[in-house]
Amino acid sequence: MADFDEIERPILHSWLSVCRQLMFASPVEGVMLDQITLKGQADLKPGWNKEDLGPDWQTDYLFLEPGKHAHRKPRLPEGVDESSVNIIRPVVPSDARASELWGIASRIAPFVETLGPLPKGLPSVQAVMHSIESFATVQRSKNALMRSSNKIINELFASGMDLGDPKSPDPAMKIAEQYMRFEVPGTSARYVLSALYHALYQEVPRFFKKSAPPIKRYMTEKIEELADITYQLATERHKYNVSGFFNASYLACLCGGTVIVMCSNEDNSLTKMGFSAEEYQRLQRVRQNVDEILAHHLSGAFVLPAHFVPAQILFYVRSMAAAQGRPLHVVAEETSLHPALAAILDQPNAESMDVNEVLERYLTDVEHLPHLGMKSVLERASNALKVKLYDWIH
Amino acid sequence: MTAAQEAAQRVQRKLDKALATTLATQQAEDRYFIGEAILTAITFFLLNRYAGAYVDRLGLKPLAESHADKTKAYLDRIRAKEIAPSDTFEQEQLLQESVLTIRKLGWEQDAEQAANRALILELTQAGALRAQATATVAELSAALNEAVRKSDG
Repeated sequence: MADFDEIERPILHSWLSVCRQLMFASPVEGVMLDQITLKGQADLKPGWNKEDLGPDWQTDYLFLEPGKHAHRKPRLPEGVDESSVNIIRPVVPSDARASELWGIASRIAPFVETLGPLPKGLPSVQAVMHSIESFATVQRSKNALMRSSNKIINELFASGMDLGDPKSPDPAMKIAEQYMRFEVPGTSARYVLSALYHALYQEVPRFFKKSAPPIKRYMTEKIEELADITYQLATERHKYNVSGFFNASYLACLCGGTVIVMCSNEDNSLTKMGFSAEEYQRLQRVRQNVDEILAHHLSGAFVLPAHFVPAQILFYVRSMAAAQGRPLHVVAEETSLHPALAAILDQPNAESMDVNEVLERYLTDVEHLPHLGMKSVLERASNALKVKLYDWIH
Repeated sequence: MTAAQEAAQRVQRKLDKALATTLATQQAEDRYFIGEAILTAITFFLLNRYAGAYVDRLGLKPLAESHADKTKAYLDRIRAKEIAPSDTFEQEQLLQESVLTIRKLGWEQDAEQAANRALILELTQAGALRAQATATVAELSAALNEAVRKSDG
């Protein structure tokens, strides 16, 4: 049976959007970002604000100049007194199962099961729900990440992978597949991929080719490949149908997130690999660039379809545009609407269209667009994701 | 509307905000909710860098060097959040002058390719992703070419 577009079953699209929102980073982060997107940061004040999420998170300083601009820095600029800063403490949930998102997923999962087979490559509804639930309390701490990463890496190597065999499955593709199947949350998958590339590229000169270039060359190439595919998936997704758009957005979150981990220099890892100050600085700019793509184009894509049907999404965009006095298309772009849905905003009768009319129009307008299922999107990103150890060795 | 303004409008519509932020910020740790004024400023910076690389290839070294100095100083002011509308107006005039200079000398494929290579290298060194730099430079080239053709008529 040919794969189908998830929007043909609107409840399935809602459920998949909730799953993506809960798993593109981790369930607790997904819940927190969902709340910030929908409800905003009420405690922010004009001037400098300090965002304190707790010891496992980076502290950020956010400058707000209403009507002009806002920017974020890890440190206060010179001359700004720390005591003059407004402190905000967004609540990091302790258990994603207590959230509205989990409530939506639990309520609609039984209906999704009755609709027929899921898109190709996905495990059963129950297996997905069970998997997400098993990560519902994982916090972003190094210990928690190490624990879940070690488990994933051990399972990977226990599966009998031969890294010297070009026909053996690539370990990075296995991680990406698990992420796409909601078996591993993005935060863990990024961390595992980064550790995997580092560990395996380190072995090239040590065991296989004495004259091989230093590890920083392989790492730089991998960072650039992953950064490129993040950008390409973010820009190409517009030409696909709804499944394609959201599969591309979801996988781009993993690729971009891995770039951020690989460029993070945690424990001086980049310094130890011998990156010069200039090379290091460039990687930090690449990281900034990818982080911006994730923040402004990708990670916000799942919130609205997780909560609302297409007509409600258009209502939300119109309300936000009116409240902020900004053009509709700018708000539509910032909320990562599928272009076919955003185009309905320009219809002369858009505001009078009811729920069914909007859905019908959306379905008609995406019908002719190419599909990009889970397997195809992984294939599209495979060159960037694969460790390709065999290629480097030979 | 001048040819330079039209080129800037065309580029700004498609300019990648993530790349604009990467160029407009002082430090790599900074995150910026980029506004229209900064987007316009980065657009003129990019178009002038491209025009500078192009006239350099045409053999106009002193003009290219003066261009480079002015655009670099402009970027420094953008990063320091010190740009005034008069700075952007100056960049707009600089671009219009380049368009007229290129019109006199004619559009050359070699110069275009050399400018493309120079800008892609410059942008990737500044933190642009390879695919992003290639797409951005293609747009700069097309916009400048169109501006030269329009000013011809």
